[in-house]
Amino acid sequence: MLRVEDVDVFYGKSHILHGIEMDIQHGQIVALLGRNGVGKTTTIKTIIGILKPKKGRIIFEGQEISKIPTHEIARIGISYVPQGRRLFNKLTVLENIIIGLTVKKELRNNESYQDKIKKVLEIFPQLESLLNRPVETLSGGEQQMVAIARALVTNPKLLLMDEPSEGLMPVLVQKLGDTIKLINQMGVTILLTEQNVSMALKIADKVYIMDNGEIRFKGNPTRLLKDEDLLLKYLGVR
Amino acid sequence: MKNRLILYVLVLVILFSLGFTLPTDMRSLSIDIFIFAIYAMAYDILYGYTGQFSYGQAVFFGVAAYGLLLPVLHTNTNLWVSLTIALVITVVFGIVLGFLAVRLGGAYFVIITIIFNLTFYLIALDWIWLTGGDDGLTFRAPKIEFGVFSLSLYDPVVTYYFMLSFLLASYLILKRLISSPIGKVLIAIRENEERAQLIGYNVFRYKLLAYVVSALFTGLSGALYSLRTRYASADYFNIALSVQPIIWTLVGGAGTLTGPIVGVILINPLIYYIGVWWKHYLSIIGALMIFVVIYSPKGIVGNLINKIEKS
Repeated sequence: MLRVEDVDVFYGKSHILHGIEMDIQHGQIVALLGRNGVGKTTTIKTIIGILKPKKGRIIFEGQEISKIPTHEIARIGISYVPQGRRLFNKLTVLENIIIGLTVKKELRNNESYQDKIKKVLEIFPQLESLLNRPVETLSGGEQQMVAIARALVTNPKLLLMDEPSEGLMPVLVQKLGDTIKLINQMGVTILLTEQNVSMALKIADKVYIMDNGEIRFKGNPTRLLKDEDLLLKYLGVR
Repeated sequence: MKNRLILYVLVLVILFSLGFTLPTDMRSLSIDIFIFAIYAMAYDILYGYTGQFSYGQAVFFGVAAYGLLLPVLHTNTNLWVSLTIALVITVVFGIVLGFLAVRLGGAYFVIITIIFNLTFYLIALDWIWLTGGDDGLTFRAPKIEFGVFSLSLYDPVVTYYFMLSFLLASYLILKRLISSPIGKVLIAIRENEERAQLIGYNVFRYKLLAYVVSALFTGLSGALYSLRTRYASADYFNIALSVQPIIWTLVGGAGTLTGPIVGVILINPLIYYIGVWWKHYLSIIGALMIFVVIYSPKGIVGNLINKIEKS
């Protein structure tokens, strides 16, 4: 579904990503792990088109997307839940969700707004009583739900989630993991970056570990869990 | 909802009854307020709703003023045709200038709009053959024609209702725009441009749309103003005229649509009455600005909305 081929990215003169190679198959949950500042968010931002690679290609469903603008990448089926939620604070929960709907004509025509909203409320029933509240008045966990709901309402094929558990209480992190699993079972492929290694390894089908802008490990979580040295060296966990 | 409806009806009844009852000077001031309220709302679409801080909207005010004046003066076209010409020209200028400016964000956008304003002002001063320069040009206001009926803009009561009807129509159109999905996208862009892009919106296109809509309604106010004064000069491009909507919007409340109208209602009478007997009247506007920025940074209406939401 998504192939990242030998991608190099620079911030000005700083070389951030070095020859990144990734391969994500349809229906997978892929976790991109690593310590702070190793290039996880930069990789996500490059896939969604905020940053442009200096070298290499990104192919999504057979189409090269590394040179097309961000808004067009979003329209072909890649949704992004950024770190820190980044909602539209002055809009209500409902407005934040439907703003994702108005972007695509086909979404407006095929199914009514109500049906779409109903669908995401099945995943996040807690939001039902909050629909008319401005999002700035919600808790961190509720805001995260809105951010995911807004991304889901556009029927994405691939969902990019950047540190979704950041700032959430442990009990909510567990719930979030279940929700990500549920979304995946609905047919959405997921790529997430995470600091919470245990949650990520529980739900992921495939794991990449990054360090210093390079991929250091690629494999399934079981293999990673067996390699204690690797866990300690790159993720700081035993 | 019911309270709001009662308020709207009350305001309409007052506005309609004032046309006949106001003394001449106050009617004249009201007409100016109606025209500038359109200008203020146009600016709110650009700055209040989309976050584009322009310092050069007088370009469109002046372009439309001449866009109406020149056809009437040289070819004696009727009111509706000349008004249409003025608005079409303004939209064309809006698209061209917007295409150049909107790509630039933040301070660069402000700077380029100042450059546009100064350039147009200097051209208007220099091209005396076209604009009359500093002295300007005068013309006879065409009649308002509806089939066999016609009304004269030389009658102040007619002018009052004519300008009021444009204000109400502009308010309804802009209110509809900001309540529509497009309006929500504009707010989303103001709140977080990158996020709007990530959802799939072509931010440039929406910002350009807001710029052109703002230019169109600024142009409408410019055309109406030249119709009211039956005159236009290079001064219609003066940068001071670009500062006014900023003050109206900040004092009244950006992103509220009604706030900038309140700004006009508060500030223009100050200028109108105090300016007659005290040449330093602008210092009062300055003091008011400082007061609002410190004690009510969201503007008067913005603050009021905040208080209602909290209660």
